[in-house]
Amino acid sequence: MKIEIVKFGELLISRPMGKDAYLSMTAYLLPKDLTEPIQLDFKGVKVLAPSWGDEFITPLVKQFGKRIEFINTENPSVKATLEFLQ
Amino acid sequence: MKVLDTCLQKAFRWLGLENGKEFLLPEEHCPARDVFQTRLDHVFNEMEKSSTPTSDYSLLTAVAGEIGNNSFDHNLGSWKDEIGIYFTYHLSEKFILIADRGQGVLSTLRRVRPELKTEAEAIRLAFTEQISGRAPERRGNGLKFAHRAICNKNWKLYFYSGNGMFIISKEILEVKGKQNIKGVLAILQYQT
Repeated sequence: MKIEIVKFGELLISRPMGKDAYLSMTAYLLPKDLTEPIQLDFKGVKVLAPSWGDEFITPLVKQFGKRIEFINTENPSVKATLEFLQ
Repeated sequence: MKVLDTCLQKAFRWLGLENGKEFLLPEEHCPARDVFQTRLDHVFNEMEKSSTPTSDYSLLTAVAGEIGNNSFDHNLGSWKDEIGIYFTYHLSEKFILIADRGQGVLSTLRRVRPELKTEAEAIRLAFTEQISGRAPERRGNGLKFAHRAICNKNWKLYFYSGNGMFIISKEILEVKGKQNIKGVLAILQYQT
């Protein structure tokens, strides 16, 4: 499945916003019996900061490990944040 | 006089007052995180329209976001008087300034590292180790991220907390001075 990150906002910066996005995503977007890979698509995201990423991406990676794939990560802050969180 | 000098003077005056309430203009003051986020969106949009290179403005916004949100993360319920931050910037002079009348870095980190004695020790630790005053929450990456971005882009961050002052570039350089502020002051200078 593909999750379009831009649907949570174009500027993704604070921890409270990241946490809220994660809770909303787990409630409404993630099927409970998901077995397929998850693509996190950053197309359209203008700013991603590590605080937001740590609340949203870190728990997903913890739960799904290598099934998480990142696509459209060319934006400099997206790239820097993903490198930093790994 | 440059805009930066005027803003710096204002920040130092605010951070030296016994009571910091009703000193900042409404357009300089972000009393809540939401207001800061909205103004940061505005800065980003202005940078997008300006001559700031595309490769810089998304990272600049991310770094400013980390520093500004730190003020809200670590001072919730502990502001000295005025809640929120002083946030200003200038695209031609290429700086972003963020200040708060909060606890400062030493007071924040001493909760988890009681052996810390000085602001300088605490600031250096904050930029080099993953550590947060909000343990057991797993936080404490924001300033390391800022340092990495600053190194990669050859920017400079002047960072003050209490009586500590550092110039953060590729190195983390302590500067001895006589200033002693109530809270934290950060000035990010970027070259394009």
